[in-house]
Amino acid sequence: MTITAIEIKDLHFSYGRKKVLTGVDLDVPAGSIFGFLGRNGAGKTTLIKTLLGLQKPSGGKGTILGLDCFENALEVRKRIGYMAEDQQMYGWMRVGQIINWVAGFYPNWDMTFTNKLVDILRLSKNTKVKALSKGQNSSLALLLALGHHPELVILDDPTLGLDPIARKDFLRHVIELLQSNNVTVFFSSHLLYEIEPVADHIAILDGGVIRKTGKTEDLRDSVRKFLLNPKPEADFSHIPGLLDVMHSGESVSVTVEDCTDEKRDQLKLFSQNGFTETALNLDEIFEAYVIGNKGQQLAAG
Amino acid sequence: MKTGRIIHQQIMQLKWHFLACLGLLMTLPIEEAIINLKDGEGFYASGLSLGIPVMAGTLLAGLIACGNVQADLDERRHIFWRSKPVGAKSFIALKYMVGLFMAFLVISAPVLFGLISSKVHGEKFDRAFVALIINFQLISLLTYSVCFFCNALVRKTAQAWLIGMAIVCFLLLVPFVLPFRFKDISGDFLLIASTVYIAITVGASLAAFIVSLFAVNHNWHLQTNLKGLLWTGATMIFLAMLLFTRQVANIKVLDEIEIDAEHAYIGSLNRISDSVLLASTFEVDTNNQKIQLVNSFSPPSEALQKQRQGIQPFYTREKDHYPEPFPRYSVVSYCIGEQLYTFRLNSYYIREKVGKNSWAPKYKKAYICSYRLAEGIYRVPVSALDLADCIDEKKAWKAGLRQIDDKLIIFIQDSFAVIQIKADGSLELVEKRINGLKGYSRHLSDREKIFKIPMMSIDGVELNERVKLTVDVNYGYHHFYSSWRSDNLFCENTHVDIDGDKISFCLLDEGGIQRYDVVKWDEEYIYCKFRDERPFTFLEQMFSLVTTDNDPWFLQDGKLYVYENQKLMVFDIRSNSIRKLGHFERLREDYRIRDIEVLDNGDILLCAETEKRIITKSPDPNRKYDDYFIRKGYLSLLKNPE
Repeated sequence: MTITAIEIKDLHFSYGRKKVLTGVDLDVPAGSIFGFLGRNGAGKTTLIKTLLGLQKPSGGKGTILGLDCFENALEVRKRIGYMAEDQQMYGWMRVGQIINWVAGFYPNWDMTFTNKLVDILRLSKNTKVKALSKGQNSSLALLLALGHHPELVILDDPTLGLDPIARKDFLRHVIELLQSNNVTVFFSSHLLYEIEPVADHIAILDGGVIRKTGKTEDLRDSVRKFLLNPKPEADFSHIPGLLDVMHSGESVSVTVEDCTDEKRDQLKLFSQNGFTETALNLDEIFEAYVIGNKGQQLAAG
Repeated sequence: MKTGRIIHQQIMQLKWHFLACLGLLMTLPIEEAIINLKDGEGFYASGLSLGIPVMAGTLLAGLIACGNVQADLDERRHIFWRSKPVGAKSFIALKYMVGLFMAFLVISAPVLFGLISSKVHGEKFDRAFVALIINFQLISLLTYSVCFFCNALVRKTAQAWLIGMAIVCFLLLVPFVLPFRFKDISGDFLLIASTVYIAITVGASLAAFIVSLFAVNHNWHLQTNLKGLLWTGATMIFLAMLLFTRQVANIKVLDEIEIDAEHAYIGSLNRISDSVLLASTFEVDTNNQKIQLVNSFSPPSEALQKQRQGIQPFYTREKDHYPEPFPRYSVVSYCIGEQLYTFRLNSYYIREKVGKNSWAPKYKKAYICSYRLAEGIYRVPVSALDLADCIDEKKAWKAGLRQIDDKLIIFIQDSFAVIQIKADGSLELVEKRINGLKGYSRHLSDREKIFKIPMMSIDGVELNERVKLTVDVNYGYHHFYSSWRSDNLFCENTHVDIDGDKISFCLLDEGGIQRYDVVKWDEEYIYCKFRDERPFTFLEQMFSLVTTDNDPWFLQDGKLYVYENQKLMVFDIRSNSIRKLGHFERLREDYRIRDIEVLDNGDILLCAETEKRIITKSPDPNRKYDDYFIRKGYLSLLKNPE
């Protein structure tokens, strides 16, 4: 088995003149549940479609499970499961029919496993696809992505449009069905709180590039927020890894990545009376990376 | 990929389209079969009830094509199947094939039903109908493929269908509208197997299919909106109308008047000296581009009446002799000093029984007569010559007359006579050649080779005129359908154009105009060679067929004038390739052009009539209905196109 499930090097993609991906580098370790974060329109779906060979990149390389995903798109698709955001299927088909139809594309489709999934996901084979609720529709899409025992499952914003209960139910199924089977899960979402409990690795995509990637725990440990009363001459812009600086009355909150004792000492020098250090949740880390001002506002002021 | 499952899905996806189309197409044949059954003829369908579904099938094939891929190419749904391990091209190709098969199944259903049920009842299918079915199947293939392609790009059923049908119409019509030199295209292209037509439908279908595969594979998506589409459609219709208008109405009508229907029916315009006469009664004045009719008719004076009564008839008609004058409507006239003379070949036949209820004319007498025109329009007989010895009773009748300066050449069947017009209008026989036209035939020679026609040898006639007469005799007089031929075709008109030392002539058939050059001539023969051809376009052949070769057409001053029923076309035959100059058309089914005359200033005078049949309840208890015709005549002055 390959150690890296997905490997992307300097991937570029544009829609005409509009550049969407500008040199994406990404490694997704095999067996991980990989949270792929990004705001709406950040390029998450574009990256996934490119990896599936549905559109041609303007540059760069990508391999999935050791296969070049542009040259061997069909072989890659045989070995992966994919669920698109707000997956639309043939409404006139019944659940049983669509399972049979999709099974036709995969030589290793496991019908026994699929039947089991039908029960687990509480689906009825006689129900028409158009009659399914949003949650059931997502469950069916998940089932269709898993029926051939893929080594890698790519879920592109799979809970989009689901209510909170359906979302939790779906995520529970994802964990139940995938985590125990050593399947790599590439989970793209803009909802951080749904990724946080399940993802062991994270990548943040913003402006067409990967801002941060790493293990979820490492990310949590490395990003810190400091609350302090700054000296008048304090210039935070020189602190390496500065993500965000916010003024709140007399005090300032400074968010820094890869936090080390050296950086802490530097901050102490800028403070009149020391600082308070706090750990951030994934939501706050994402916010710091994506909309953090990196001290520019302060410098300008 | 398990193809069977994909095909099954495809059939299931199309089943409602299939059933709906089948229901629609089978309604008429089933209805006809039921009616036939009720009439005691048995349960079968044939004819029109099959033709309509076959034609409607072309529209439905487009719908099936759009329905076929609509679900798969929906903006969000296409990701679903594209993310599966299947090549987009093979998936779409399979869908195309299955859909095409189902479309053909639907379209063929009424035909198969008709064929089988007719066979069971011993009915035979018309061959032309079989050709029609094949042609419409080809159009269905084209409609299906083009709509499939449009939906692959547009991804909206209704819009794709509209665009697809517009493209199909364009593809089908444009090759016929434009004067491409397709030799086997004619107005009834749907009833005959044309290789060009097959090439267009099959070629365009194949191209549409291949481009569809690339469009889906590369996810090409054309954004359309209905409003834009309607504007595009309206623009296309406008452009088509412009094209059509150019085809049908670029000859300007300077003036038009309604005339007494009786005169219009007689319908001939005759040039006598400087005047143009309508129906030998009215002088047509076209000064200042306005038409005015001057009634030349006034009762003959007493002196003239007496004079006419005093003249002995040149022939006392026998009881069973029927007269047949030539020309019937046009006038051959010659002016000596101030006096106008006209000439006519008066022939007489008896009716001979050839079957139980049918008879055939047997010509017995023929006289060439000259008349002096007195008091404008009255003919006073001057002299007559008996030409009965030219008649061969065993042969079909045909006659012709050509005046060249002071000579008349009279043609009767295969013989001809040369007559001298004397200073007092009387006639004198110069020579008579019995069976002198035997060497002439309208042969269709190899176009690459020079062919020869025996030169008419008539003393005292210029060589150019003899060449002209020879060609006209060969192709105009010596003609397949001479008994149907218009008087004017030979008597007044010519096939030949003399432009300095260049002599050429034109022939017409249903396919187009052929131009020949007279490359050389001597006392024995004239030598001719095919030069080029200008096929008639589809629009030129629409509404009324242009042109069977017995229709009136003529060459004058380097222009070819062709007219029939609703249309008049003018071509320049002195340019490098035959060039169309103008087209006049009246889109009325009952409109009939009777005659045209090119005036000295170049304008064209056109005489036409309309005829409407009125059916009323009959007061006669033995008859249900009476019918009568309302006729209207028109004289139009047209600008001669340059």
